[in-house]
Amino acid sequence: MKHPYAMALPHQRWRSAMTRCAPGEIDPVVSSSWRISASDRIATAGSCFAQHVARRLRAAGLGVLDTEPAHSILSEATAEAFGYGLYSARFGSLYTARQLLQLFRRAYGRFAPMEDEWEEDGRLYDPFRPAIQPRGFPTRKEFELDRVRHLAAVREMFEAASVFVFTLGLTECWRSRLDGAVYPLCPGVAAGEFDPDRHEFHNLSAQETIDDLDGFLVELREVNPGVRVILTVSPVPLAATAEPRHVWTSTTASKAVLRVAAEEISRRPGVTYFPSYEVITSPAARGAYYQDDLREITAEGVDHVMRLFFKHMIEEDALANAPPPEVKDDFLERSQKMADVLCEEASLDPVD
Amino acid sequence: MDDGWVCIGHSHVGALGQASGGALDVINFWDVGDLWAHWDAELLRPLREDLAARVANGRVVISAIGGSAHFVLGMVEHVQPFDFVLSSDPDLPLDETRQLLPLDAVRETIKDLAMPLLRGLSVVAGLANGPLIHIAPPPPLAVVLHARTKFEFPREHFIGKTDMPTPKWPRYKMWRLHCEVIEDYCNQHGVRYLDAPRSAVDDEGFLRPDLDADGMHGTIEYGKLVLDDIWRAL
Repeated sequence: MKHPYAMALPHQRWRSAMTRCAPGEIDPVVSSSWRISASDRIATAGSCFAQHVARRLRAAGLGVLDTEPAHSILSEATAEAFGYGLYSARFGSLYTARQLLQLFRRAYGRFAPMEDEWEEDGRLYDPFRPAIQPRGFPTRKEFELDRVRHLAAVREMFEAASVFVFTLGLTECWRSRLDGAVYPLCPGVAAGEFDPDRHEFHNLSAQETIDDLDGFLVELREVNPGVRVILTVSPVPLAATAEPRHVWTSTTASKAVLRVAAEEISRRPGVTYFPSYEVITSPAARGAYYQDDLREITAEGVDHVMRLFFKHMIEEDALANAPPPEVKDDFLERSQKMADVLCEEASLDPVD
Repeated sequence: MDDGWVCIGHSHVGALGQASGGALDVINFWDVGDLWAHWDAELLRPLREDLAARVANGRVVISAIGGSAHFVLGMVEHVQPFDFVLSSDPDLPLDETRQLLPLDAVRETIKDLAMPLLRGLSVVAGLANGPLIHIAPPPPLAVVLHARTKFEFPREHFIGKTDMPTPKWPRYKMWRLHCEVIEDYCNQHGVRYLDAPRSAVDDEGFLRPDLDADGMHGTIEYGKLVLDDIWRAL
């Protein structure tokens, strides 16, 4: 009887899978058990890398959910600066699985963090999305109303999504000593003030990450039983580590934990792991998918990932059936023209 | 009474010029065109030199540059109605059925609309030798009676509801925010800013209907109130 490796397929062998094709042709996805259709409503969340996914899917005309969209009177630059359109609601980056679970529980009133606002120079900041507005919220009224509407939009996203794409980014986080609430950024970095009596560093273990993802899936399916989940791991290294060791060592540890957690969770029904991390970090890429800072991903790297995503995760006819892109709102341009007509008349003939 | 005064700007100069009985030297950009965008163009040199000399010689220079940004934003109701909380007056009525926009984001939109014209104010500031006063645009009306439907915009191509103005409080806040943007700009460029005359508004701060010319501009009587305020400010 032949040993099992004798029957290994080409993609299972290093030489055939990794050395006999061009770097841009490396395909660690191989196949998928299900695909996204034109009628799917895709929600995206996670670390910064998830923005690439959302942007490309939206550009292809697929049904990417945005339950907290920018108003069309805002310019693209303003909308982006205010955190609109980056993910499926305006929650900013969710770097850890704990943040994702916490967002869900906050949205459904299952967790109310004790330290839930930061004040600085007369402005309020949301500790759970401290950079969502360039200078925070100018009034308490806006802060509170916005949060209510934001969490409603988050609930809508969780309930409306038929596919939820989550990119795991980090294990290192900062949390409240009061109740364990985790922050996307260390207090004091984008807003707030670091206080060692109230804030502590925590590096989530593989088991904690698995438990958080498991907890999230259970609770998500309570409100949306049919949702399917795609997990990815961000290939972007840590910008800094709070562990007393080299940032690269922390990066490999963190990514390993996330990869293990994603592997474990992807064995659950309706959950798929998509190997964008492997595409970018592959030895075949020889580091070429990293920009000069060795952190940010090049457009070629994103292209490679998304090429495989479309090849394996999107139904062929989904793109053909995708609705046409929305017509640009020219409200302001047309209103300006209307105002100009009035202005011209008034300047010629003022009314007594 | 206003001899040697210059009034420079867009359509709001019309009411002031008439209110002065012709005493004001009015430089209306609807006559001279978009000079600021081409300030260094050789072709415009004669126009530029004439304008520069008139501003430089003005004993007092009144600027009514721009002033339409809030009107552009709220003249007609957008199909996605929005509202915001004005930080300088957070207790103003807020319609919570409308999309809540961040104040700072609306401010950016108003700046996007206002700045291309307002930048001309810094040029005027560099030319003026006498006191330079920039006046606020007239406040909005509480009730808009002017039908915008006379503008024949193909509805299917226009996202605004052409037969419906934005409700009064969002419009009022847009005007206030626009005024704040203008005042900030004036402060940055050493220009004195003058708010709309108190006597021109009703108890809620809206323009008295008898001072409204067309839903956007003040009447000649409004212009007289502005000139009175300028006199007092000087």
